[in-house]
Amino acid sequence: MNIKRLALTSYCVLLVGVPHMLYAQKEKSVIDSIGKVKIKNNKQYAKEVVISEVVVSSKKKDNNVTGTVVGLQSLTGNEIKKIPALMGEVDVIKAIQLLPGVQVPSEGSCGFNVQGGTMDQNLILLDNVNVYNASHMFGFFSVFNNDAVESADLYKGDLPIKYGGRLSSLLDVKLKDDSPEKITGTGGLGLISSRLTVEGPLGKNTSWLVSARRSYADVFLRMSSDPEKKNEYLYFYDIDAKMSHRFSLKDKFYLNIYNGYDRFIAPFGKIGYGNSLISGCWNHLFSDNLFSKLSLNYSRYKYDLVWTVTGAKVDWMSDIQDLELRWDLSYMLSEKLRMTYGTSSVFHSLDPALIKRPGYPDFRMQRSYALEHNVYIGLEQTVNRHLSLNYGARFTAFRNIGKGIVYNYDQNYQATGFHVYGNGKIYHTYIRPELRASAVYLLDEKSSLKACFSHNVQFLQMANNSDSGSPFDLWFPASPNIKPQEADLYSLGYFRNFHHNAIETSAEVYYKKMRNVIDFKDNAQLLFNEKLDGEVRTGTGKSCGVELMVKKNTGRLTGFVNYTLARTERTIPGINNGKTYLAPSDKTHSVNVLASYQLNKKWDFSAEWVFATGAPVTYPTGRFEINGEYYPIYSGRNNDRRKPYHRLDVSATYHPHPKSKKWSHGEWVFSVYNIYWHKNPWMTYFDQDTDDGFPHAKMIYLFGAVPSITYNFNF
Amino acid sequence: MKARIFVFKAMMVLLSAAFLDSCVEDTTIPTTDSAYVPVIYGTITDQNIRQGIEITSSRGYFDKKENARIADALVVLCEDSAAIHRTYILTQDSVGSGVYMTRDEMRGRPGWTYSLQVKMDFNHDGTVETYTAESKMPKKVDLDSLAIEKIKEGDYTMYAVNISAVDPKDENYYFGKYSINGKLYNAISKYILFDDMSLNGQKIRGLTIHYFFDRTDKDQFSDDDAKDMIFMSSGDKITLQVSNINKDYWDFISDCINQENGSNPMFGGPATNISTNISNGARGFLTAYCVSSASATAPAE
Repeated sequence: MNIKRLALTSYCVLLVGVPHMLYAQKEKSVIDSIGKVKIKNNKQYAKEVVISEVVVSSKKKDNNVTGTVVGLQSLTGNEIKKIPALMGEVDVIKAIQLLPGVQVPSEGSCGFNVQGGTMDQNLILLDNVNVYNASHMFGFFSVFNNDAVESADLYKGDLPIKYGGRLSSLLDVKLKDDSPEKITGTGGLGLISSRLTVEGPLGKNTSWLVSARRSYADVFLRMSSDPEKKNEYLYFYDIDAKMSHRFSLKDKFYLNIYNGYDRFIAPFGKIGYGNSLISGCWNHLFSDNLFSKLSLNYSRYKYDLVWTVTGAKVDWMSDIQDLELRWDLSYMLSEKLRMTYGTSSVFHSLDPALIKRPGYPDFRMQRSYALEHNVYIGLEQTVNRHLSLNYGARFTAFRNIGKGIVYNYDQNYQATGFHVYGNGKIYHTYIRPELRASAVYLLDEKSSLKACFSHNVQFLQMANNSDSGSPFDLWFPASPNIKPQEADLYSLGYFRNFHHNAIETSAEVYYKKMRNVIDFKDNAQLLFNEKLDGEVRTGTGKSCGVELMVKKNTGRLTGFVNYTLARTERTIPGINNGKTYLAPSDKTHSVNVLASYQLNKKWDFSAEWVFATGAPVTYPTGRFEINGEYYPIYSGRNNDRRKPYHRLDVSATYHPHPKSKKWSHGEWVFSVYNIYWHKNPWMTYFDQDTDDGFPHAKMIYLFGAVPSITYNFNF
Repeated sequence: MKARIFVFKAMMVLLSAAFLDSCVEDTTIPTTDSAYVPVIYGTITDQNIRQGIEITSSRGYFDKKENARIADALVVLCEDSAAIHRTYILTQDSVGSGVYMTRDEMRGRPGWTYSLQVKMDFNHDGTVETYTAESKMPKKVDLDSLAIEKIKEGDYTMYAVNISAVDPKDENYYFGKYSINGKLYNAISKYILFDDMSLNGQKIRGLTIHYFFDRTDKDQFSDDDAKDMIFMSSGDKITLQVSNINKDYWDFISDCINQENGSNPMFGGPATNISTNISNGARGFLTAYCVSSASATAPAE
């Protein structure tokens, strides 16, 4: 058996496609760090076993029971692919939205809220690089091309110790890292976009992957009979490129590049936004027990809006950039104790606005700069056959550096003065610890109890009042006026698998208490406001919930059912008269059902049903009139709720030539989003009636039943 | 504001381009009416006119009755400079109109503070409540010129409203009110709002502060959109009043424009009450500002 070295750890060998599955499931083999195979339970079988395929996985089949991370939900690219998708665009984040404890901010959005958090409390990584805005097309699709995605892991609160800086979650998306023996590819033609992913070897020690995607709504616009739309362009593209080279058995180098951009061009102007990510990473084995990963990462999210009407051209540009150097090490102290430790430094540059206007000097709002230094140490300890622990701490020094302006505010948040700090001057430092501890107690081979405590800190936040996918994100740092947000998460879970891990079940409860959480004063002015600090209000928040999950992994019918009962509140002086109010992400009940059925080799079917309590909303309880127009009066924030949200999506996949690898012998995916045409309100607004002049309510829903067809192929 | 409108347009094009069947339909919302509160709105200007305020009552949001006028209030307006203090009693010309005016014409002065006191038994519980407000009139900014430029953008013909003026060095906030062919558009949603964020202290030359679409393009908009738009034609005469206003009144106008139709998940923040400088739980605003006017005619080309 030819086993490749993958990383320093143990791997289970799972035998798939063996005629006698009973034998295969009993087989337990472990590959050690230098690739030797040890057979732990070397039985003699009466029948000869023919192995058609060996799958090497870094995760155990019962990882949900034995793993020490609480609140981890993992999806693979293949699992994501089975989920019916809006307009056929298979999407990592849309799949994440189906997991327990995850709420969708608004219809169609590719944002997500985790356990009562806000969208900016999620750390989203693409191959270890921070993605500040993971959306295409104003939030309807994510930046992740699923064809290139190997896995997506969502850590709900209990983040790996090497990561921090966000209160709610880590979404860790990994691109494929296999080294195929020959050039292979996969791609697809859809209604919204087409995509192509090609990967292959380059010599014995080098592998590469290139994945690209482009939408073509602009092509349809040019076919429009509407002359205005003919001159409009709307598209996005993204490119992932990944290369790895093994210099020796102990050294491997990775280079990852991502570039994605959205562009909308209309007669009046244009909008552009996108991410650029570059990451270089050197993996080195100092010994069989000590593994090192040194990486240099760069991330930039930028957007610009150009208003091009004659004589009034205005160009507004903004970006946020991170440059990170990090060193992560893993040391196997013994078979029962593994230590991870490391350090990182990030340079943050936040440029809120540069405005260019012909005939006038450029106007630039004050940039913000910050340095974020971290050190961390964590231990994974197997205490005995029942009890495993995972604990650690990270310490962060977050330092504001000049050039910068810091305003002073009185108790009414009125600026009373300011101080200017020169280039490179460190003018404020926060030092905050983040603590993580979790324990797993195996009740038996099939079930376990898990407990977790996690203290997270967040130094960067987004000033964005909208709950949809507006590209105009404005991130701002903790500063002398704004303390870092902090959260304590306590969770407890019971996990049990059935039928040789074919069915996974879990029940988790959590309680999260947050301090210094931010909101914005009523009618806050967020864009183009140098005194943004004065618009921020801080207070406390709490969130609690129960998450139930049943998942079936094998057989013709696979899928899951999950239910979340949750409540999320905020209490912030200056908001809602200081009274506690429901957070926008509060949804009492959420149910997600996903079922995939393989009818035969040619046909697969999938269905997804989602239900959620309507999001909290503020409806007017009165009106006043000035100069013939009516304006609303509100009694309290988020006192009402929208109507419940629900929809059913279905898809059917047809494989005309199941075993063929020709690109022309691909698969057809037919899907319908919201098949029973439920009118889920996206927005409710008010208008004065043209007849009687009095206000009345109108509702916009985005999607009726949306059919789509996609052609996918491999070669 | 323009950015928001622009992105919203982008959003709509996106949806239509993707063949989505997004729909707008009437809906009903079960709401509980809050207790009625007084609404006091007044503007004091440097024009030599009878200055006035209006007092009404709030109502349930979806009520099919007009908001009641408050007829039995005692309204006192004071003006103060460092050396002078004057008091005016405002009364209704027509009792029941809710409009309270100074008896004689008077002119507000920049730098002077105007304070209002309204006494009434609003909730008829036998106790008279007092509502107060105060506004200091900012200095005047003169319009040097107003010009209307006819432009073609794509399939639209538009009239750009260009102004020239000298922006004072400190932070300034402006609003514009206009009449076209003598018809004054006084609704707050029609106000033109701008500030000097990127122009502070500079001589403004032909700055475009607003666009009107040509009346012949009206058919290109849905009836729902067109009913809220103001169109112009060549030869129309526009008179523009531009005023330097206090930040809190600028915020009030901005709030009114943003909140008039409720919150928007794409661009808007949470629905919140429109700011006010009236005390004791009342809504509305008292403001004082100078007016600078200029007129121009929409060109044929």
